[in-house]
Amino acid sequence: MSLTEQQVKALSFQARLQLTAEEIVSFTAQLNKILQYVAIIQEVSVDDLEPTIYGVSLTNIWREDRVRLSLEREAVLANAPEQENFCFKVPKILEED
Amino acid sequence: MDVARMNLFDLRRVLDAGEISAVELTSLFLDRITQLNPELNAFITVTGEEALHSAKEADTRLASGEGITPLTGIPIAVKDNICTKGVRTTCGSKLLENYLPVYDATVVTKLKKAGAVLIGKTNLDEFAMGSSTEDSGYGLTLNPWDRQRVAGGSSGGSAAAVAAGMAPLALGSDTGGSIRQPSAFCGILGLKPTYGRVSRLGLVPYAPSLDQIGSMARRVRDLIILDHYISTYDPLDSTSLPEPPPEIGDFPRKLPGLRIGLPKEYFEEDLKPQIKERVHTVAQVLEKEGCVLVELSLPSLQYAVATYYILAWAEASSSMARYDGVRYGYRATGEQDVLNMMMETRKQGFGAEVKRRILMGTCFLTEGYYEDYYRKAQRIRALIKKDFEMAFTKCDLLLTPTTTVTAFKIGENFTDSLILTPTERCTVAANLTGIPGLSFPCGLIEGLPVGAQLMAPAGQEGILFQVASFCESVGVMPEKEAINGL
Repeated sequence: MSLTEQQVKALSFQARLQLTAEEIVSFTAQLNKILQYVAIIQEVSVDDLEPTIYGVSLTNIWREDRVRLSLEREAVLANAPEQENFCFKVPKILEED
Repeated sequence: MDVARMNLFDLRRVLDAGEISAVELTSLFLDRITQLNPELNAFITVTGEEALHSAKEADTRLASGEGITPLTGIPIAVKDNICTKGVRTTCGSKLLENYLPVYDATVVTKLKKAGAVLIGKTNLDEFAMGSSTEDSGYGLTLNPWDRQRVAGGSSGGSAAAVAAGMAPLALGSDTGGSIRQPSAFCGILGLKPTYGRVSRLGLVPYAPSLDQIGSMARRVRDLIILDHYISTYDPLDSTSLPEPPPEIGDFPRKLPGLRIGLPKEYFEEDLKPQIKERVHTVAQVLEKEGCVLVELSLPSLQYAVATYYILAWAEASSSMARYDGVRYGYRATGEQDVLNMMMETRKQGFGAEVKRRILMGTCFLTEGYYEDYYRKAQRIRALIKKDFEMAFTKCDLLLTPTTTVTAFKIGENFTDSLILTPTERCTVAANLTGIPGLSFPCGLIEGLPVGAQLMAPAGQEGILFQVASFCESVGVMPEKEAINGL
């Protein structure tokens, strides 16, 4: 399996990562090289094994639904590039009529 | 007082005896950082003011004699992907140049409670994605043994800081070897604990199913103490282990009769012959003490690096989604709509290696690749786990090299950095299987340190400490340290 420049461009959109034309060319070559390397896993048959998500076995953890302090609003907002009325502010997301 | 060369036990003694105050001790370490850091670049941020403030508090504690722990008044360096409230945490990325966490990581809270002094935030590859600390937005870290060489990574700043005596102890993080490999390259000890043993709350995630915070030090006992004080059950980390950590000095087994496994796959291929020789010397020393050497095989190890790449990068593509220019970090200006703002922010904010891993990880999770790569890698993770479980029926712990090479020259690995198997081959399996791995220095080759790695079943750090401690006591670790030349 190998990736085309068109596919890398599509991936970059999925990842919300703007790439230059030169980057698309160089990343396509690099990604294909990595794909070639990791293809080694195709030679082993593991259909009888369940996929493992964590190395150690974990069980679901429950806690009491108790009221507790959350992070301080002003301090959290202070890290935001832009804020207004205690909200994170972003460029417009809806078209005007 | 030559505090840079002193171990924790000696520092403790002079502090407790009142021969030096915690403020004086911290000042001496700050002086050393001022002297050495401009060249070595182990620290991104030196927290001099905060450190002196906590040292003063430690002095109050020492004077009152109450609440003193082995870490009270002891300076500790913290990798800059571990959140420190009000102290900028950059993750080695320009994107987070001005990020001030609003809470402390649980490990930091624990250390502060113990009275430790956080002396600075150490350099790393951007978002811990790298093996050399060359790929940081804040310049590369040099190896204190040879300034033409890398410190390793991604916890290269912590490793260099401890090796050069700029701090007696440091915290790092390890996703595929990022504590153990730089520890080996810089001639110090580094532990990746059992997954879940140390809380990940406040560790900026790279690949959450593999990430683990751990300790770095120049003496086994120092490592044991730091590990003890950061190990805890944390209800705020859903992957935290509920079992209490082992007590300090709780060495459960006698060395005679202990079965040491030597998996042949670790001693093949590209392993430098002199490294093989050094690790075999360690094995012989242990055999002489009555340990039983067991040669065994871990056939699935050949798939470990590929499996690690697929899983780590798939997780990374998801972890990195949070950097969208909305809640924190850099935002590209001049974009009229939110989509372009996000795409441009990420374009300008991330370095090439991070971009590559995001793209590759996104690919592994798309239709057509998901089953054959991501799901398959998860199944191989189960296979590797099975192989290790099988190995641990034949032996009590494993002894391997930490890396197949010693510290490489700056720029040497960078030109072809896509596949870094020589530095990752020996370490990734411990992350995939969740077991603890400890790297300790076992000699020098052409003036550069060599690391040996011990791995044990999950939760059995104690046995690693015990064996490392014995090796230290019989002089397996080199007498010479980087610190002597500085």
